Amino acid sequence: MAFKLASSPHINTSVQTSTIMLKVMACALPGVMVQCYFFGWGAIIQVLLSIAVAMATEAAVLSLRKRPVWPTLSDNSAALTGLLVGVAIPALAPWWVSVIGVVFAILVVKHLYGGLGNNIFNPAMAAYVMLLISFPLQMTTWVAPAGAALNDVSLLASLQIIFQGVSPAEVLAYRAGFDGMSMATPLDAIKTSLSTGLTINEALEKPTFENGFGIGWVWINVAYLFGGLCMLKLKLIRWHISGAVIFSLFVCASIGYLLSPDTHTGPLLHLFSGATMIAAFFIATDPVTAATSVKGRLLFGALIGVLVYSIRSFGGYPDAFAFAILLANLCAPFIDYYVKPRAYGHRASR
Amino acid sequence: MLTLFEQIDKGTLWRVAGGIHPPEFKTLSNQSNIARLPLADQYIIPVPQVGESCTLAVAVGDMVTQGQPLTQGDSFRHLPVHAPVSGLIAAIETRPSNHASGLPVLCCIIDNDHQQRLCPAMHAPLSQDDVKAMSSDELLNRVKRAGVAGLGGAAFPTHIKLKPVSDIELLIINGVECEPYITSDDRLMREHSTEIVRGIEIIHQLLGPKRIVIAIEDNKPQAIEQMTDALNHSDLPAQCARVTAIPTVYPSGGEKQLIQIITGQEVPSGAIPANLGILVQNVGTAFSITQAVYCNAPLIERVVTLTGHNVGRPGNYWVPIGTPVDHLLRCTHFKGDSESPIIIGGPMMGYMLPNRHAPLLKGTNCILAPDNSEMAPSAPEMPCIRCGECAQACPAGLLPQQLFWHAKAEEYDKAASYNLRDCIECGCCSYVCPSDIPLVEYYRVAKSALRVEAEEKKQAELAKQRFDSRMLRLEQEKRAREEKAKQAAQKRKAAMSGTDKDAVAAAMARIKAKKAAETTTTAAPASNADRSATTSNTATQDKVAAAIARAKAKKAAQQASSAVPESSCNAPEPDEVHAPVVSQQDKIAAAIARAKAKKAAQQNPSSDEHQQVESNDVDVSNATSSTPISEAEAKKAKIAAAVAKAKAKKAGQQNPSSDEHQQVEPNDVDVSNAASSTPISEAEAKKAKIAAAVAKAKAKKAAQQNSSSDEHQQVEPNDVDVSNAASSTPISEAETKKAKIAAAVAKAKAKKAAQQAPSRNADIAAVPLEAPLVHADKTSQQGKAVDSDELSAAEIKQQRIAAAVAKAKAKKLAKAASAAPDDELED
Amino acid sequence: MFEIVIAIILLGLLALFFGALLGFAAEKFKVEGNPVVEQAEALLPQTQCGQCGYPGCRPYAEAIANGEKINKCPPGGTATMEKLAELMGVEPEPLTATAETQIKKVAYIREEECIGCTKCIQACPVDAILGTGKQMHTVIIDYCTGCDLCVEPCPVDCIDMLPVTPNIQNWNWKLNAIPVTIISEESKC
Repeated sequence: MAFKLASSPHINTSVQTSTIMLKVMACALPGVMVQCYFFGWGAIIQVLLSIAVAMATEAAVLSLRKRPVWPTLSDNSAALTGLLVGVAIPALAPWWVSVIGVVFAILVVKHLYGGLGNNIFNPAMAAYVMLLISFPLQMTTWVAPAGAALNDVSLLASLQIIFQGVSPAEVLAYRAGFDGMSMATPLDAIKTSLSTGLTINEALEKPTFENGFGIGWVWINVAYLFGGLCMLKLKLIRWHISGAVIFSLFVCASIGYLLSPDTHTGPLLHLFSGATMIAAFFIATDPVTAATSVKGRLLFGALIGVLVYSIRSFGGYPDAFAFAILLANLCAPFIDYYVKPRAYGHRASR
Repeated sequence: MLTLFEQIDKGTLWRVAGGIHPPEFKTLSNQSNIARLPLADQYIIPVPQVGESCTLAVAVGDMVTQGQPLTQGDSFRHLPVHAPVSGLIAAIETRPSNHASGLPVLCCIIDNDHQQRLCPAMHAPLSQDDVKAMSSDELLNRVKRAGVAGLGGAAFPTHIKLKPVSDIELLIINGVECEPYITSDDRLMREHSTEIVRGIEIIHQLLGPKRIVIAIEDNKPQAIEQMTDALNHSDLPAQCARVTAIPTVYPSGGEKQLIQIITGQEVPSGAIPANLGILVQNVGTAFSITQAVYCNAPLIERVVTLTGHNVGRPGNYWVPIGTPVDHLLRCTHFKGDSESPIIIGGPMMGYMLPNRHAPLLKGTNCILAPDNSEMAPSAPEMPCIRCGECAQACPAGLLPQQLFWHAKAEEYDKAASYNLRDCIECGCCSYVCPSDIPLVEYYRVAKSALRVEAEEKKQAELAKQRFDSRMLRLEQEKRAREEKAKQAAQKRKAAMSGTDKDAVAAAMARIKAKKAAETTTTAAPASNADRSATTSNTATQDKVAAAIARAKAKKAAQQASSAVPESSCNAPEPDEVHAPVVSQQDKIAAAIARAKAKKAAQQNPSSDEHQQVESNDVDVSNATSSTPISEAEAKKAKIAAAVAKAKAKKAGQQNPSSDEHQQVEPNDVDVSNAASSTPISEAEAKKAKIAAAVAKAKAKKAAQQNSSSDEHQQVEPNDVDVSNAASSTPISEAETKKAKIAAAVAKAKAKKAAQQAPSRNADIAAVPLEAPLVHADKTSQQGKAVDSDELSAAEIKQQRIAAAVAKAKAKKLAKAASAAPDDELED
Repeated sequence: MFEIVIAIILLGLLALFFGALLGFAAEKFKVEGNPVVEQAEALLPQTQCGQCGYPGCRPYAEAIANGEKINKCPPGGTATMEKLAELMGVEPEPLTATAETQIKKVAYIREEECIGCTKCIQACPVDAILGTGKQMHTVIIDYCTGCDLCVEPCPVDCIDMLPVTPNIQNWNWKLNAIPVTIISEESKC
């Protein structure tokens, strides 16, 4: 080994990108488990499939770009992207949906922009939006969250559905054969109800809901919240973005609810339905695409919260995190440019 | 709202942004007392580069005592260095520096005589009352004389800091020592708290701050205790000074960060703490101030922490400044090999030493020799994931990852817009980076690039300024010249209207021709002398003298050429006085004298015809006759003689233009003299001969030029001379050839010159001064070529070629000269 | 029909009004831009070396403003060329000079060989050479721009262009470039 001069500092924390990513994935595990519990084996199959495809795509792209494959692959960022795409896809969506989504995420969103650290958009969310727009039917056909007792689709059946190209309609029929209903997500249900002239409270009477929350979805969100708190505890993320997202969503929802309780969902329902928690803790906090300074991150998070609320309440899509995060990603460089922390010895005059 | 001082008295601390908590490893070295190591045999003291008026006070071979200053300077900023041991100045040369670059710097190398003879200026400690009686100037002077510098690392001269521009209200004594591993200040505070407080008293006496805060990190309880105790026994006014324990966080020991922690104020970017009325001094500096003031002892040793797992006996040691690092490593049983890293300073801000021969400096507080388990070789750099941890850790509130993007893309001006300048290079960002990016290295490169850019900008501005002013000057000069030319023309017109117009014109033409001849002749022998002077292996003094003589001779010749037309000299008569000249100096003096005499003679513009120039010739012959004394010196003398003769001839040839009966022979006698005096040394004979030949050739040329204006000129004697030269050479066959060739060259030139001369009419012929100048240069080059090639017989061919080339050039020049315009004369 | 006429008139009036407004604004808030020559000159290194083929930096800046190529300034190097390209809105071009000529150099007179001819002094565009006729000359290093112009006129070839040696003050922190000395253990200090 040749003696190489190194610049100071000569010591470093043992924290590595790869461990950070691994820990983040571990923290997402409770949420994935709960998702699996409610949506059946399909959820976990999608996650594993996505991770595998993500790793393979990453390796292929790296070798195409003539970059060292192993060092970059071992930073686990591709696996995390795969996981996030996997959980965002409906449990029984056909396999090619995940594959297209993941390949798009890794190849287009990440590597065409220069690889890890250079992408503007969050790969998982961009992929999700692409899928949602391209395959709306597959992407919105969520099976009804069932309790453990009703966990009806066996592993084999799930595999069959996912890999043998059963059409969504058939899935529905298949599902119908079991429990007689397919189900919209809670937010979707509310949106549909509101458009048919029902009030929120009437909407909440629907079977999708239970005690004012969406069945299953509330537990999934609780599980991700728990994972997020673990990440905070492990210092994998800082609280600023997640806190700002939740806070601003809560504030917006509260204002809306206070102004017009009949047409606006309550803040708690906002926080515990859809992708709120996983997005707030696992997706919005993606450091590559977020703002970097403390103030910038608060602003970034608040922007996401406001956008989510606006799109959920006034937009055409039931859930809005993917769009909100992508829009906020766009704003991140601006935020970073204009929200610079005051450097030591500089007056705050600006 | 409490005032700042009340807050300080209460011990209020402010939060500082960022910071990290690296593992400390301080117990490795702070368990034992400060010890001493065996002295090295050799010490290396870098000579300070600051201060324009800094000069070395010693020379190689001097014996120095311990503590004797090695440099002196009269500027206030000068910081002297001192001999750390008594001994011999073995060398003053460049040695690898104790710097991250390892670039060589000028150092005094002192061989230790192990006698420890102290400098007489040092004395036993004074009493406190004595010190109190000292004036501020005296105190400052002592601090300055002792070469006290900031011992925290930057080594800024303390006496400058102690004479601040503004009033100091708050003095902070920095005992924070936040870097991992380093414990030198810790041990110093534990063992020498009294001396440190004495130093603080001195600073108090000098500056009279309202408050003094001794800041110590709370991981050094013993040091805090000792300092508090010493402070309680001090003479400082009560309520004025206090010890403040500050929380352990890196980099709270940084000057700016410490000020922020203690006072909550920030030093404005680009300003110094003194602007806020705050002065920060290191505890080690306070100790050195005490030593300097009480004992008049210079800063020649300091406490150094030698630590790391590769050091067999880690601990703190008193080490003389200038000790080579490898000596220290040997003394402390260094366990690593030649590839183990050695870090100067702590692990956060220290640099790896490229060369272990480098000396210890005033600012070196730690030598860290980590093994691989402590500090693994740096991991490969991964892409930045913009996690923002660096921004959280940055104590300066910067955005390190933005700086990194721009620094990596070499967009340095953008990096500068993110306040790169305010980066203190503490290393927190690199420390926390999960991608192992050496951020600080990027910043340093960017900073140096920015510095270079600024420097270049300044340089460009300066260059532009100088270019513009030069243009202006040239313009003015041109105008002035035109003015002068006009006046001269008018005067000439007036003169022409006189009765003997024709006679004057003829005379002027002749003078010009002469001038041209002179310039040719002078340059050649001069460069001859120069060449032989440089090639000879005698002392440089001789060379210098020769050069001076030559320069003077040339000056004289050219002055003569610009002299008033009526100038005329008598024929120099050969008057050989065989005065035994013994020393070289005499010869040189003779040469100088001769040159001057000649100058005087030729300057005599309106001298009468009977002007005697013999003295010159006496000198010349002196020089000639004195050659046998030393062979080595003979050369020079001969060459000088040749030069002198050439000039004499010139002078002689000048005369014929005004005096028709002028005989040139006497000169030639001289030349033959020179030729005949050469046989002393074979090797040297050559040169003299060649010189003689060149000189003769020129003489001939000149003579032939004269003949064009003067019909009664005798040219034959010159030819006789040439044959003389030829006949005087029979010593060596090989050299004869050369001489002949030289003669041939000379003849060729002469012919050329002769042809040149007649081809001009009276007005144009001699007018352009510039052309002959060029000619002279070329000839001198040729002369050189002939000369330097001389030593090898095999190169005769080359000489011939050179001669041919020279001839071609000469011809070309002659043409150019004849075509050159009139007004060039102005130059 | 009438409505159309009204609409046309209205639109025409509006257009007139805004046109007048724009014209007024253009006059009123006219930015006295730094002429491109000045800007180009500010970018040039002011060595006045003439390597671009123009007698000084100002004439070259003027030529650039008139469409001369931007890659003719070896002392400025690639950085200057890129800045000029940006200023002029043209594509960067490789420099005409080789990399070797881009190393910063200063003139050095071998003083024992100097014959004091003053030719270099006359050649120096920034008056960085000190000396007088028949006296030895020397270069004021701080003022020398490394333009090379003094080398040619010297009749005795005693001027060298020496690369500027890095010192501790201007070192560029390129750690990889440092030759590391491996010292054997038995070596004496």
